[in-house]
Amino acid sequence: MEDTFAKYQRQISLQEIGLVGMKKIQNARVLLVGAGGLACSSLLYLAACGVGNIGIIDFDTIEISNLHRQVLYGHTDIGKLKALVAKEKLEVLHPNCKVKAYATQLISDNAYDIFQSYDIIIDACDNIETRYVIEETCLKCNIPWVFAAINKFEAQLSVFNFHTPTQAAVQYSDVFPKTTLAEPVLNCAEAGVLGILPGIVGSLQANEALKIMAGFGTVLSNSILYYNALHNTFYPIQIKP
Amino acid sequence: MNETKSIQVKVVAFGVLQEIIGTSSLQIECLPELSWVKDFLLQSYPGLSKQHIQFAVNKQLVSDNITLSEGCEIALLPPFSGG
Repeated sequence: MEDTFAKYQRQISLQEIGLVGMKKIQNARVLLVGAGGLACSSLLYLAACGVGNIGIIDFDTIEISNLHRQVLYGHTDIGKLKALVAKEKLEVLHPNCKVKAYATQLISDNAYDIFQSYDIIIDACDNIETRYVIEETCLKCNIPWVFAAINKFEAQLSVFNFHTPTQAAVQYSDVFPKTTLAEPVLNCAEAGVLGILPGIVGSLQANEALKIMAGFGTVLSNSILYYNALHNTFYPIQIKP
Repeated sequence: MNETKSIQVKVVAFGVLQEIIGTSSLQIECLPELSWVKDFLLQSYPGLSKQHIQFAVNKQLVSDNITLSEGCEIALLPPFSGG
């Protein structure tokens, strides 16, 4: 406990967190769907902040074109599975954080079994189909999820399926209902992305997750935020369930 | 257009929708119905018809046609995919 106190003293000293909030953070169980740019940033901060249990699901391997934004990985990791490398690096940095890696693809058939072991999901995936699997499974498991998606210099951020006594939960499909698109929505490989962008937005996701875990601040649960790194603008949009 | 009922609104767009329109914002003169603005934009920028677009008015997401007021801000919102 002395080590724990020393490590997190600057965070415990915040009135909004304190020892009670810190205990909640240490007991929290968070699953990252995807181990790309958003996840690398949020994982580093969640582990550093003292989150006790982290899961990472990703079936992809590290490529050289990932390295400008996926800051957990380096040249010697090329060709290795992202989920396994992320787990190894986080456990070296923060041995008190238990990390479980799932080197598989999240699909409807495995999502429920995996999600049941977690309290919060962080959506760091790179496609909309997986996002609907996350939504469906979070509804079944009755857990919130911290959504983000990026495009070139822009990002979206929100918290879905987050219930409060005064407000009904908003869902991703309240904003973007399932539909057949004439043009596919491009991912980072297709559209390009500024390396720093997922670092900023993944940090914002970690911040939302921490607020949910420890119960402080205002959760971004009834609006979707558009962020533009090119012009440094935030554009929040209110969503009614 | 019925001149007596026309209003000025600001349209802002994000992501690929901004690329199709060619600017981050524009002022248009329109009838005070969101459906009128939607039709105008689709006719003026045919590339929008292939995109998934949600609309917000004065930073409030809207799914139905609503009456617009002078000077309001209409946002065109695309989904993003990358992570």
